[in-house]
Amino acid sequence: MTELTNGTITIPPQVKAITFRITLEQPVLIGKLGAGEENSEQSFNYIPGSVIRGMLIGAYEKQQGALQLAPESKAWPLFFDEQQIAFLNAYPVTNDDQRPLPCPRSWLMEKDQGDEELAIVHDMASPNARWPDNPKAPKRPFVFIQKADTETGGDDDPLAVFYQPRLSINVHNASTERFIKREQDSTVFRYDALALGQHFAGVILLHQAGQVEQATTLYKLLLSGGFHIGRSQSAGYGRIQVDQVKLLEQWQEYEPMSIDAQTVVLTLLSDTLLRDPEGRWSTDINTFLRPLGLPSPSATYLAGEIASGFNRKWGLPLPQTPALAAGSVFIFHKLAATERTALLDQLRPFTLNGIGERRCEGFGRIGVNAHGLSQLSYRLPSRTRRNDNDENRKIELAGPSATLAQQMVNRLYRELLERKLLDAIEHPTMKIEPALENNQLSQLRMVVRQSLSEANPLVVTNFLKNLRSPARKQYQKAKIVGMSLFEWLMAGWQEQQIWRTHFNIDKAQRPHIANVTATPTAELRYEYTVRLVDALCRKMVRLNQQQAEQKQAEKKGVQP
Amino acid sequence: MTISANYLIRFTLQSDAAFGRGDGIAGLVNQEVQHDEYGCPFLGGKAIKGILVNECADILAALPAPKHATWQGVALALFGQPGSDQRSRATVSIGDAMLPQPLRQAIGADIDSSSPTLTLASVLNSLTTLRHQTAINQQTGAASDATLRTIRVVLRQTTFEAPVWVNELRLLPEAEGQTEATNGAKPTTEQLLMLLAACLMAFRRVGTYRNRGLGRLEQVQLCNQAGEPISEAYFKRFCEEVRQ
Repeated sequence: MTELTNGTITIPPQVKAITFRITLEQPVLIGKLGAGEENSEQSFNYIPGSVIRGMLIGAYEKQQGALQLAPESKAWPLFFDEQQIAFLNAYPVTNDDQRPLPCPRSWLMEKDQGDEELAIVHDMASPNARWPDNPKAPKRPFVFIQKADTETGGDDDPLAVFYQPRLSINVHNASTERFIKREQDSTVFRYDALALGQHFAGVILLHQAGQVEQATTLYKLLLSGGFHIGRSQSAGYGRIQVDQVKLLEQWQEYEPMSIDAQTVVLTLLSDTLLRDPEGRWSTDINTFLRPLGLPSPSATYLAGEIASGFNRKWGLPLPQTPALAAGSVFIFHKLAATERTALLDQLRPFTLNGIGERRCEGFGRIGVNAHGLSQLSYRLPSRTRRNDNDENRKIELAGPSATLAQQMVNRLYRELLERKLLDAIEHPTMKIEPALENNQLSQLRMVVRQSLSEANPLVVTNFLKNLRSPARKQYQKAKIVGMSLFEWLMAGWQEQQIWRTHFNIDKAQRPHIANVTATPTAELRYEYTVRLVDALCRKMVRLNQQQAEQKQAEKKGVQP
Repeated sequence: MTISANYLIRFTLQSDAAFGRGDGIAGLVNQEVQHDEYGCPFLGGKAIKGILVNECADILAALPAPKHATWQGVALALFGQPGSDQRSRATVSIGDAMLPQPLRQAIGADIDSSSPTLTLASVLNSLTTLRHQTAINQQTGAASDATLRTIRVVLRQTTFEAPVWVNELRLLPEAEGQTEATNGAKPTTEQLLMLLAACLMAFRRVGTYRNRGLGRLEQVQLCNQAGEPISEAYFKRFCEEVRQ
């Protein structure tokens, strides 16, 4: 075992793979062809290996204090020699931190099942697969195959858990003239970027034994701090962090499955660039198989892509080349046992090193028998919910965060109180019987509103205490919620009974964010007490008017 | 998620602000504010950078000739220049201006929990409000037909923080055999921060309708990693440099 000089980690001598997790701190925009409009960009739904290589080259140059990685430098093969290294694409990470793979194109489902859990996925690579009545490819681009969940009573079909990275769509407006935004001088464009907060699983493969020094260099670079990748890095896009870096002596991109004894399934796990014997770009898999003396596939499910890229050193785009798309499947049926064994043996080395061109950047990854069972059970990733006891729930807010949180919960609390006010007023028991005259109701309204504007509750209590005898008798005769109006108002003002009955909310039920909770102030309590009485009076005036109109209508009906 | 940054731009809204995102909700809001998946409003880094570049242009235009050339080079290094190669890239990356990180974490933790008390709508409603406006017919003095508009605005006194990263790789000398830029030696990190501080001093309004009362800012500060304001000090040095 070799130890670093600081003694913090031990590099295995036969390290084969470095795995790591990328977390997007900002949306990431790695533009691909076909966005449609010249200024808009649509991002890949994964992080290409070439981008990971570029970011590590930048980190290496910063470490070395130079702006250029020279071809004669010792580190050149570390980043560019296909025989030594491969930077694989980083695909969205699964719930248990695994790296899923592109969905095979031989998988089909019933069209109307769409995104349904427990739907059946049929793999046409299997000779026993059933062709769906209305076939449609699964719409999520990445999948992780898990063994059947027999413990919970599920069926025996393996589970296909599908993943789809989230995109964030942002519209921007650029102007050719400063401060001018108008049709001729402004351009509206949009970026469909990978949304922030997501995690991607990356892998760097070291093909040769004993690459301890290279592994150490890469390990340190990955943990050297955050990176910026993709476009628009200077303004809101591209920031990532790398963690969970692991050095492994054993690593496999997929778990081979035991499938039909006469079948071999070859799947492309990333876009693949092939050339024919004349050196021309080709999308025919036989340009790879024929020189090895391997048979042609008996069935194929494939798609094409245009591979491109950009070289920031020279500020020039890379040539656009036709490629076989990730997920393309080539099936060899009805093989004799010896044929099958020979085919598997010949393909095995390529599962480690890849096929075709630009293997160093993650192109040309293949899987042999990575899938091939006739059906699987469709699953979506379970949404992880935090426990109430999770560390994050113990966040203590202070300073500007606490001030802002207090403003937020206070506003939410007001919304709650508004709803309670409406509920209280609309309740059938909230009325005065027998009703007071309209002039008395209006007088009461004026008094309570005056007390609110002066912030002086004594205005109301003094008004009640100083009522003249006829008015006092009416206030005592009028009933509301089983009490006399006089007693109800006095209790409401002197003992806050109105607030307690209609607006009180337990502390646990009040809006809160972390340790900041909405608290009713004396002013708030008084405001809603007044508003309830004011609304009650308005309601009674309306009811009085309705009754008066009704009586008039009845009189007119009675008269001949 | 904790975001690491070399510096922070912190500001507080003095008036309500409309961080438009280009669309709305049919029947409710003509212009919605940018907000994240938890309902927290934010201002895009591109918008901030655009405003700072504009202010920088005004500052440079006010400088006398010899100073102008020097600080023009600093500005090009700070904000980058058109082009897609390494040399044209900006040294500074400005992130989206968001609510303070602990607050966002607390909101996210609540919404993602098994028993959330907050929703996206409640968070958004507690930080914003709707403003209505209509055009007036000049002849009749009444509201013109089909001109009622509703925009959502972020309430005043809301504080935002935008992370800023300085990529010092772009300040490194060229390798041997490569020519230097025609405007002389590469600027230093100190010069970049001085110019950035000056631009932030001019950073007064932001968002849609900023020339019509919305989006006025106060307490605009550049802070270091410890959260201490440093813009005053750097601006003072910038003033001394340009007055020499």
